Amino acid sequence: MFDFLEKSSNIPIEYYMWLSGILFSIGVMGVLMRRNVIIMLMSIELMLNAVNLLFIAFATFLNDPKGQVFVFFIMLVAAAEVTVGLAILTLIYRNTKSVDIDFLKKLKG
Amino acid sequence: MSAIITLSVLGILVLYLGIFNFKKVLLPVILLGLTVAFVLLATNTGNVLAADMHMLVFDAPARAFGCLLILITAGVFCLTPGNMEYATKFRQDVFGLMIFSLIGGIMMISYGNLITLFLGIETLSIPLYVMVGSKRSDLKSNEAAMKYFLLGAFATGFLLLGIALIYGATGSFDFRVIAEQCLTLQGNVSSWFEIGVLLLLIGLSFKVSAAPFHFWAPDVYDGAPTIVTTYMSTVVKIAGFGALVRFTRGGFPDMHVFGQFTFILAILTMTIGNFVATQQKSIKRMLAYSSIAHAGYMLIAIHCSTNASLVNIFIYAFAYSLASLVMFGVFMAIADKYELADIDSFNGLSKKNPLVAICAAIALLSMAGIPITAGFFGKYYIFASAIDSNYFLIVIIAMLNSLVSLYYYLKLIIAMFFKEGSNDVSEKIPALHYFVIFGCTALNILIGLYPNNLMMLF
Amino acid sequence: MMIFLVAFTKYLIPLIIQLLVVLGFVFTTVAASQYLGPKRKTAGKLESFESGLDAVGNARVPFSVKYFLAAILFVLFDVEIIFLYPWAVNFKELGWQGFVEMLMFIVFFTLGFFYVLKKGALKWDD
Repeated sequence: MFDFLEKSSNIPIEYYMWLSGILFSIGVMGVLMRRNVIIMLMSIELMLNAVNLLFIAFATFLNDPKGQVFVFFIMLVAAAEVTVGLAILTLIYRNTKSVDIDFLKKLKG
Repeated sequence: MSAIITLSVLGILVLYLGIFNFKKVLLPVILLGLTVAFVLLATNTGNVLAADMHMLVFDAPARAFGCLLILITAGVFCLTPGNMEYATKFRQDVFGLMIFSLIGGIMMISYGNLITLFLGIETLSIPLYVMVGSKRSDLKSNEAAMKYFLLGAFATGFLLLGIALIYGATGSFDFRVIAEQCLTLQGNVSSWFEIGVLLLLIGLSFKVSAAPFHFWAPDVYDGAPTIVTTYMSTVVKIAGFGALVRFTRGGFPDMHVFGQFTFILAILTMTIGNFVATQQKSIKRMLAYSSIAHAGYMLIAIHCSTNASLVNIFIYAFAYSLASLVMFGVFMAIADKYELADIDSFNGLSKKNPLVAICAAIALLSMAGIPITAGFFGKYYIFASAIDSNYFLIVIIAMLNSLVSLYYYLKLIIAMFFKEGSNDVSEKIPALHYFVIFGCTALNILIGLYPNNLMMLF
Repeated sequence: MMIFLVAFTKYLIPLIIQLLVVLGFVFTTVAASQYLGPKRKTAGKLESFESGLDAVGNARVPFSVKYFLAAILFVLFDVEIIFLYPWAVNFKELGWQGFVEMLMFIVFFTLGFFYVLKKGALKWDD
């Protein structure tokens, strides 16, 4: 039934690595270049999901379920992290009425 | 394992005690719980249960580091009375988060598997993001939390990419299996593995604030409530270095491949930390940069990775965090309460409170590495084992750095002993505060006198 | 090439037919209701539908932070379910030990939920 799907593992592992590498780099550039905190958060999520993709690809490649289990942990931690991040963002929004990173320059020296 | 479960239950108990208005018993319950966890961890036999799948390994170094973490956390808790005014309504939340964060720290120093390393780092960091921002109406605290969060999450991405590549190259998260793979392949490990290890080291050096990944540290230390800063500069740093040294000593045969990386890291961290610290006016920022510098000295032990690295880092971290506790304790008691942060706020302390001034001076001397203090032996052991394995250049640079550091530590000592104080606020320091300051100083000198006793733990 | 052809005839053609049927159904029904239904354009009919209430103000207003809190808590407790799936799949193999471990996990986050309730984070009007 699924033999068509199994044929798809003919795609070499490097392709998946390229794909997730590109996605990861887009995430990194997003964090470094964007000034809006919400978009930075989204970029961080993109980085984590690129890693998830890599884990799944390796797990399929190595025929080993441990990589998939790790993805569960990453998803959980990403959810917890984004929760905390958004909470901090709301806190800042309440005090400054802005979500722009340039407001964050009180600490210097 | 039982220590971790005890601490989890303690954390939840603290949250519930706060809700049902038993705030008076919070601190005794926490200290009792930490003692129980300490005893459980210290008496752990180190046997690995088959069901644990080698996830957490409580071997001798893990037990020593874990007990140190619990001890220092207890010290931080003892400093809380009088310093948590900003959080009177939700004090139990901050306490609970601190305990949860400690659990993450213990996982970080006892992991036997990359999954537990990752979970430990996150369990340590996520409560910290909240704790840093816990001064809710203060924009500086909010900003520090946001910065710490963004950079922490960013570093997590790199760490995870590293773990993914290591997994892809070796097919396992288990440290023993990874080490075996390295041995059997004998240098034929795919290049993913090396890139993975490098990315993982980068992720970890973010957490221990090693230069050039240190930019968040001064701002975050400055903006966070001082009690959280104390926690971060002691417990988080010990846990980070525990994880780092466990990783480099984890059985990978040729970790010297990354000698270049750790070499540059160590030198940059020491030099930037010390030189920028001399320029600081605010005590909090100065201590932040000095903690970066101390990370640099500990990175030397990581760089010349020998069998003694574990115990050397342990002694250094012990000495550093004792001194740090005293310094932050004194700073909170005499300056931070009155919203002062300048070095001038230490002026004339020796007249007002000579005992505390002497304790602070001993702590500063210990940080600078003057004999009969623990800090001297911390530095001595690290430098000695570096020279043993023929790393002369890095030791010379470290020595020069110690001289520079003496400058700004002496500046504080001079302020305390030879300058006239202007503010005549009569300080009322809580008893527990005194207990921490004197206890840590006594322990500091005790280690300075009998440093060999700590070696027995390993 | 051969593999692709076989796969094409065996799996893709049914999929394409299904897709066409689905799209065709959607377009036909939407178009039919457009042409067959009567049209009376009065002011009341042209207003945006808000469950029978009068629409007031702009839709682009900041939401109350309470929604945000509820959403965040939902995300947190929702994601925990991830770990129930592998357990459910291996329920028999893991046996009583797995059950006890899972029970501990669920008790821990239920305690968290009660904490949230007690804190009043889900209280709507204050």
